[in-house]
Amino acid sequence: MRRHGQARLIEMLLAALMVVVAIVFTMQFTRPIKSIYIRETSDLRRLAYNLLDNYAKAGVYESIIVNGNLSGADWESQMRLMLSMSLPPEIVFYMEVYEIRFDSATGSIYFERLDHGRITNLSNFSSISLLDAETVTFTYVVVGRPDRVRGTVLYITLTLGFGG
Amino acid sequence: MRRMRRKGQMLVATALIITLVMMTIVISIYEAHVFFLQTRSLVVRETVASITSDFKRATAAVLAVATRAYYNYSRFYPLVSRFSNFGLYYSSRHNFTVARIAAQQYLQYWMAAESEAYASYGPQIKYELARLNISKYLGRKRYVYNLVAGYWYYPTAASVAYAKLKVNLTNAGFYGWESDVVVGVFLKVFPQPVASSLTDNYTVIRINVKVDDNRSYSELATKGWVEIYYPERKGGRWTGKWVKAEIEDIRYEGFGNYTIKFKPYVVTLRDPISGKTFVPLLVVVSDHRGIIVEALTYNKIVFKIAKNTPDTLVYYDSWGIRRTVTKPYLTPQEKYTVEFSSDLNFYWLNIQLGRDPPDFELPPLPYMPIKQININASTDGTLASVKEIPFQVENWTRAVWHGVYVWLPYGLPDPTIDIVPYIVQGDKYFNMRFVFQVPFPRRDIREQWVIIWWNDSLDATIKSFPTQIWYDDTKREVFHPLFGIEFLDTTHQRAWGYESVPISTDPCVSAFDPDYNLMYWGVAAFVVRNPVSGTVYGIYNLHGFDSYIVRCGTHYVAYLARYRPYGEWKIYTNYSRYGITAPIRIYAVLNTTLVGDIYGLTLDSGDTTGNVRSDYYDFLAIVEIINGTNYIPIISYVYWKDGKWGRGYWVSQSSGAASTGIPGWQSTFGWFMYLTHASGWYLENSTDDTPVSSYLYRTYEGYYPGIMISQWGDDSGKSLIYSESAIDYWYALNPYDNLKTASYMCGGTPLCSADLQLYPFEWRNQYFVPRGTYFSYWTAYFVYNLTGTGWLGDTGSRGWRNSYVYAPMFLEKYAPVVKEP
Repeated sequence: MRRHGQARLIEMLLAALMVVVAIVFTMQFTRPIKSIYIRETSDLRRLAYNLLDNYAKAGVYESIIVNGNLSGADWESQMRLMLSMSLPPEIVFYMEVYEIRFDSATGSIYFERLDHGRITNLSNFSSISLLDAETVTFTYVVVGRPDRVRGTVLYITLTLGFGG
Repeated sequence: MRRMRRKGQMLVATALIITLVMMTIVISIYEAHVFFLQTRSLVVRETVASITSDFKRATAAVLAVATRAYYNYSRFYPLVSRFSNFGLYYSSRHNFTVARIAAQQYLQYWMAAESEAYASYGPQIKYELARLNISKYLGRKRYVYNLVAGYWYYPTAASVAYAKLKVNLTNAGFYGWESDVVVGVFLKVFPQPVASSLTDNYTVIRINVKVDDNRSYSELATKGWVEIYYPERKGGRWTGKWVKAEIEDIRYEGFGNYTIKFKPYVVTLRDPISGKTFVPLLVVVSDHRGIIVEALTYNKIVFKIAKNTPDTLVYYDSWGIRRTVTKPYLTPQEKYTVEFSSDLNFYWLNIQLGRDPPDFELPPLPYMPIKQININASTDGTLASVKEIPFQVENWTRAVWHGVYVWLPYGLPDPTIDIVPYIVQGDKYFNMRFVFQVPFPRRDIREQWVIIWWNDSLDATIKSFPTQIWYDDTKREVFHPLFGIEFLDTTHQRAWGYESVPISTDPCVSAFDPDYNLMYWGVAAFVVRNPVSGTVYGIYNLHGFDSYIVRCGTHYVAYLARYRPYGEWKIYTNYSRYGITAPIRIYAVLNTTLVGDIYGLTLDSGDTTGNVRSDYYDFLAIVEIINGTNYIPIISYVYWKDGKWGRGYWVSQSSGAASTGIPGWQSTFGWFMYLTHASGWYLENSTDDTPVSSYLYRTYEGYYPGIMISQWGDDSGKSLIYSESAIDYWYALNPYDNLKTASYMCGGTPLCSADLQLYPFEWRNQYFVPRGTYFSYWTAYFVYNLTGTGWLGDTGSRGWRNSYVYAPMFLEKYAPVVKEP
């Protein structure tokens, strides 16, 4: 009896171990289970970064933000239009643009906001609460023309969310 | 059996339950882990990528600033002046170290900005400097080792920044990100044109542009720019200036290659060393980020300096017998101080040198700071002996001086400024001269190679060459191993060490004579001294007219050369901004409209009223004290504003002991001789009745002086060698045709002198110099030894021949020639 019980206990442990090993082994080759929530917000984040990076490569910041600020043109509307054209219609967006300035006397830096809160496709962006949204930050050293602004550091925040 | 089966079922059930519980736990842990990885990897990837790409842009921005400031600060002022907060001022535009410090400061601020911008991720950002080898592209060993570097002015050129970026995102649990960041522009200009047509007036060249990690750059025509400069041509010659070409077509051929067609046609030259042809062009490229690089189709300017002096010289002795003298085999004293101007001319003694062949043309110096320049020259006439030589740069201007062009130096430029080919402002013309020495140390060496080349590194520093000349402002004296030259003028009226020597206002005592008490009251002259002991050898008077005759008891005394130039020397001794002594020559310039009656000033104890006058002549003089030579050129210009009568006219007067070896002021010594002009019944280069010994003659006066007057002693001597054209002019000017040289010998008189008189002093005769009389001339004050290397070894009455063999150096017709190799 005592010998039988011991053998079964060992069988039981071996069986359990085999099952666990088999499952863990299988999990190595299977995609993890993802919730809908994670997939959607990470996509928004990725989309936002890609968009900002593409704008950087295309010189959008120089042509819209920099030139607009230098010329006094309505660059916020241009930027809004640019974002609207670049994003799917169901995505809501909100962008803020700052210039990071250096104070060589004190050695400090400070943020000077350039926009007036109008780079958005929602009129009441600040008052609504988005459940599925991501905000990314991006810095951009101006390298393109005009010459006199090269080296200026822009700080951009872009919030993307699912509308509806 | 049944009991056993039940027990087995229970066990299996228990095992399954345990398994399920364990699986649940494992899956939960796994999911949590996956969730963490998912969210972290996205944050890390995007944030790190953003920071890295922005660092690349920041690095590109500082490289753009550094290269634009270096290329042309004024042109890109709106950009580069913004970085003056970081120390990048106009005055430091060609100091790449300053640009580098500014770049590093900017990147510090940038890192602070990034830390603020991505604060939620806990970023830790820093960069490290490392060495990047870019030799493969440039075709020469070059590295980027301190953030930014530029290698320009060659057919392959680059502006590059390189750093290792290191990022930690502590809040995302991410550590150790490291990325090599290389930004830059690489330019290759193919020296040979692809096509060109003189008839259709165009040239086509090919260039290659790459950026960053050797990526072909295809956006040159759309987002970047290219400028081509060709040598300006005026009056049938290149002027040294670069002119922007009119680009007619840019064609991209892939892999970073472009063919560019532009106006005008530019002639192709041949590099005499490599034998390869090139079309002299300067190409500047900027990418869309503003990074500039400048390339040239050539990296050196090569020519030869050929001496033109005879090996054997002829003279006629006091018996009228034709004699010859041959140079010694070793001729270390034959060393020319040549000036190469930024507008591509050559000068020696302020006269322009000829070329062989006459149409031999040199390409311009690059548009770059002076400090990039180097000069090499051969020592034995072969390319194998070429080595780097010292040189200095001077500012010169060609001014209209009483209706004639006169070249005048006006200082040494800041070596960090760009080479300026020439500037025209009204009737004034400015350029720079690169002054270097070409030695001909042996009689059989007739040509020497000279290679002007440039350092391609923007980190090139200002060169400081060793020199044996220096200036002591407290004594107003320039020191040379053979002599000290003390300048007397309005600011330094008396020779140092003579302060306690009595000055008499009684013209009948010797203490009245300014040549004894060395009080000149503002009259410009210079004192020649022993450079070590300070013993005065004598004084050199630049010019003098008329005499002061006074009755002393029963006889009259004549004081000569009464009206002498009066004013202030400007002495140019160093690159003032850096305090680097001019290594080749220190020079003094006197530009005055006044003359001082030196005897009247002495009588009136310096009262200038009536004694300093502006109604005689204007006088310009350039005196050069040159390192490593035995000669002092004194280049003079004279213009008479009013006609004047006077007794005697001295174009130069060198008083004092003739021999530099004589320690005492009143020492007795040696010999005197002069060579005649081909006038009257004299042959050219006759010694007339000379040499004469001071033991036999207290004074000696000779007529029809020519190119050389000399005095010497037992071991050394001095000569005054005159420009031939000036002597010819004086003979043409002087209706009496009796110029005179005089040596008041030292037998019993403490004052020895060697003069050249345009109109001789006569007690009774006065001569008239007409208004508007103008002439220029030079005197070479030549100091020589009688024995030793480079000297003939002739002593006694033949001692002067040691000087004569070198005299042709200073004659126009024997001036060196710039020769095509």
